[in-house]
Amino acid sequence: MTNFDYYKPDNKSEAYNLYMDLKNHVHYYAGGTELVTTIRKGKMKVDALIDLKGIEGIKDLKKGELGACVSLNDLEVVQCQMLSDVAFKIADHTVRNAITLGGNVCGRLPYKEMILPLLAMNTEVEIVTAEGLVRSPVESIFDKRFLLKPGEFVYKFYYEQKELKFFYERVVESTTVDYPVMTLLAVKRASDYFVGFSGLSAVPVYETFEALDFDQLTDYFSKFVKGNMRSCDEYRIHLMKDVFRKALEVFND
Amino acid sequence: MKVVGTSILRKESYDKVTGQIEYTNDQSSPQMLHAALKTSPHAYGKIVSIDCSEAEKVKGVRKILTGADIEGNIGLYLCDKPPIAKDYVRHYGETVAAVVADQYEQAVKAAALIKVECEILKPILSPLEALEEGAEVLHKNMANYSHIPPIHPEPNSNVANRTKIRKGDVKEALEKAKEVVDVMVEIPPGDHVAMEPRVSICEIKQSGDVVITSATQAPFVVKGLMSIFFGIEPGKIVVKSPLLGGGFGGKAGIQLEGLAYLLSKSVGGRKVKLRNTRENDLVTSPGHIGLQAKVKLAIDHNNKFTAMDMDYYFNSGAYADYAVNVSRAAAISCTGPYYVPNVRCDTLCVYTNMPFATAYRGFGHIEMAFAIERAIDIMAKKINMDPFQLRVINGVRSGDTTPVQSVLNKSTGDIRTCFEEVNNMLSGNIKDVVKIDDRTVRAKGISGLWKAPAMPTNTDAGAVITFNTDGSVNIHTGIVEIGQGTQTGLVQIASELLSIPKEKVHIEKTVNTRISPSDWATAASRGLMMAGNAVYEACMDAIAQMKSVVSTVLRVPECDLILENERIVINDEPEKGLSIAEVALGYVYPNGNAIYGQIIGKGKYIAKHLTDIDPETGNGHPDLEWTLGAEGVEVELDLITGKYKILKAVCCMDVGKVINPQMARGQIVGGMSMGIGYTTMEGFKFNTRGQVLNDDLRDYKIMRIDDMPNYEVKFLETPQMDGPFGARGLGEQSVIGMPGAISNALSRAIDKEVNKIPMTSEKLWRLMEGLDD
Repeated sequence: MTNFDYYKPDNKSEAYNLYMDLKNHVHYYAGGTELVTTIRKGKMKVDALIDLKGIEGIKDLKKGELGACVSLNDLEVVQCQMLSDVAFKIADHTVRNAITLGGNVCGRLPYKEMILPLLAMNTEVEIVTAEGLVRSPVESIFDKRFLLKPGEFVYKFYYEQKELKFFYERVVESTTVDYPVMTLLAVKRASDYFVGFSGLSAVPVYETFEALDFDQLTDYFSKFVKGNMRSCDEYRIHLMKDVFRKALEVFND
Repeated sequence: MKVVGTSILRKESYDKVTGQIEYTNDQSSPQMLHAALKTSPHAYGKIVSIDCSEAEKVKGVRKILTGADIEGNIGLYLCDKPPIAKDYVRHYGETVAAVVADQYEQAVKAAALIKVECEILKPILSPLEALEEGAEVLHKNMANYSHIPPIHPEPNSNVANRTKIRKGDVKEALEKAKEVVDVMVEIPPGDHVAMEPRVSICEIKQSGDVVITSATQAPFVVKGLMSIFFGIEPGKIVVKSPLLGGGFGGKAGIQLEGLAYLLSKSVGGRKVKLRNTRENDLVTSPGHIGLQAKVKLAIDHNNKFTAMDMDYYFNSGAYADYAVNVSRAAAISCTGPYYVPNVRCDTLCVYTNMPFATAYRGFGHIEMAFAIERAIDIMAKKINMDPFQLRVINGVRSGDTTPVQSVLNKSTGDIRTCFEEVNNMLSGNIKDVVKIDDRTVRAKGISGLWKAPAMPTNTDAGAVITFNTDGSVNIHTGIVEIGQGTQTGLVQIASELLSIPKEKVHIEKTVNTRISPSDWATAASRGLMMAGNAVYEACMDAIAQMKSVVSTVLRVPECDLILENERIVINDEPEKGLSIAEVALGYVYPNGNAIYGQIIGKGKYIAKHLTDIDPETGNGHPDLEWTLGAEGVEVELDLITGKYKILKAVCCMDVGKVINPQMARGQIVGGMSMGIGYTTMEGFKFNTRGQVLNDDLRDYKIMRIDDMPNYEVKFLETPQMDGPFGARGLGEQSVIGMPGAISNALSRAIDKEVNKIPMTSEKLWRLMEGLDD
């Protein structure tokens, strides 16, 4: 649709330096499902794309360690139920062959559903920065979105391998292959509960609680509810309460 | 040889699945120029200025057209649409400028740089709003629009067509009725979402030939209208239609062809390709019609329907296109497949500032049936009667009169048995709501359906068959292959009649209006019946010619000759005869003398006895052949969230002779799934400014495979006495009953009347909570 320069560097610093050296509209490119469609519709200006998928290590995949450019379907390999449950409801199988884990949580779309299990599992993230790789808890640099400086990009995730009891539900407007009206992930951890939503609000929202209390949960999350063309505020609140009840049933068992 | 009635593979299957089909957009040449459109972000506005200066500087740009460059309107039945918006934009997505450039990317880039200044006006966003006293008149010049005689526009209003049906005495019947129910239903405009977006390529040759290749269901309509609107001699217009990636009515009539011609003309006749993006296809080109309708149904003490009193306000959007005839077709069949002695119906085709509407599978019947089937279920509930029984006792049969008072003939299908089959497939007890657990219930719903083609009274079809040296045959018709499989059905008819194996019956897949015999359009579910009859006649013509040759050579009377395994043989001495190969291209005697020459079979068909309808009463005979059927669903619904799943969808249709059972089933199931999507999730969403919020496939959701219920399909085969082998149309029909069946099941499940499409879980929840009615 529009002409742009395409780069596929094979190491981290080359990618970073390219980004910093290139002028005008430069973007990192991972799976491309969002970029290609956005560019085609003329909603995004692009002079250069830097494809991250050629970078050494960025597609590494083993238990506890996830390269940012593994596809959502690839996640099956690590056999982590929580990751799989969330990942395999995003888009459809063909599209999941392209969508990357990093792209899902760093893209422009507000849903970023994969951030929920990553946060819940105390994941640490490695970021490529001017000073090289910097590793820190996801929680410390994710607030509505990843807080990255220009040129920085996500390289790898390291999640804690623990068997955690969790409740997951994804509600859509009608057909299953759609953005979520809400995705709830509630997780019982050693000393607290993680409760997070995607879709309920304009950005992912989450909090930890010492115990799960219906009124407290409702009270806390209601303030974030934001309707859109898929459903209105009141119905979302109604659905939210319903998923809370279901979650409480699971944890109270 | 039994070929008719067997499930042979589609002739184009292997080419299709291996990617060898060349669709219109696959055609490309170095000389070809490319077009892109600048469209309106506003639903209604007065165009103040259009600045193309920046766009013109883009490399490769050859020409930019705006409404000011083009004289006159085009329009299928009512000539109301400037090819590019002029003075006003009347819907979101309307074309305001078109760019022609060497490369498509250049055209797109330039289109984005065109600056349009608009004075934004308040849009009209429903038919009832458009009909209010003092409503803005969207087409102020309507009195000067030309139109075909069967439609009746009302200038100085927003009514593009009004069709009236007056049968019996409705007032008296309502007064004497045992019970009367009212219902109001609503359907938003939406889109067909054919897999292949619309595309047209046009070139004007030095000879004056205008050559168009287009994704069109109606190459002959395009040819005819191009001649009328642009003053081109019909013989100079060549329209080619390759295989289509779906049509569903959206590629009938005239679509991009007119603008493609104007663009080609603007660059000296060079070949220009105009193709829709998916977004253009959704909102710039027409989609399906919307509706608001009020229906009153009366019954007597025998639970017989005595009267229907109806007002259908069809939402045509900004332009009339096919919508005027959709509203007319709905009037002609306005009672659904039930005998009703007293009928008053006004169907109006109303302009609004929404994307405009063209033909869509079902053509007015899906909308009409939704209202009728809702009314019947509300009545059944009121009198506490099984909805199945109420339908059975009121179903039409031959000898009954339709709303236009034409008499249903002996070919009329058996709708009562259709209802019984559907009831059985759903295990009866349609009235019962079954509790599965604390929050889950199951419920069933059924509906009837009928449809006759809505088409010109002189609708025709033709077929020519020629032969090859091996005795194999080539069929030429004007039927476009849009995925429906008619071409394969025609092959089966010829194979059976000529006793030639199906592998040796070939059909030309691209329709070319200069070569192919005339054919109105591949629409209205008429292809198999009408072109089938033409192929039938062409085969009989060829057989008669071959018998004549064989009679001469073998010195036997023609009446003693029969066809058998690709040979014409003497009936009581079948070892004596000639092969089709020996006579197909002229018989050659052993000494070299040749006689007769090649066999060319010709066949034709024209609709019989059709008339227009009376403008005041609707009386007439516009309905060629009715296909009747019944459908039903079982749903499982969550009473807390309103979420539901359609578990089972069933259909029994009386289609006459089934030519190809698997393809017929595929066609029925396809229509049912389209109807489920239409009912449960589709339709445009608008903001208060009339902008379409879901104008791409990220947000305009259609059925996915995991939304599919289990399908069960049965056929009845009451012969269509004037159809080929007794077959009648079945292409569109199965979409028609789905809104009724689903809404009836959902209404029972939540014990509220569900009268609005799409039936989202949120809407059901709001009904259950009493937030909406």
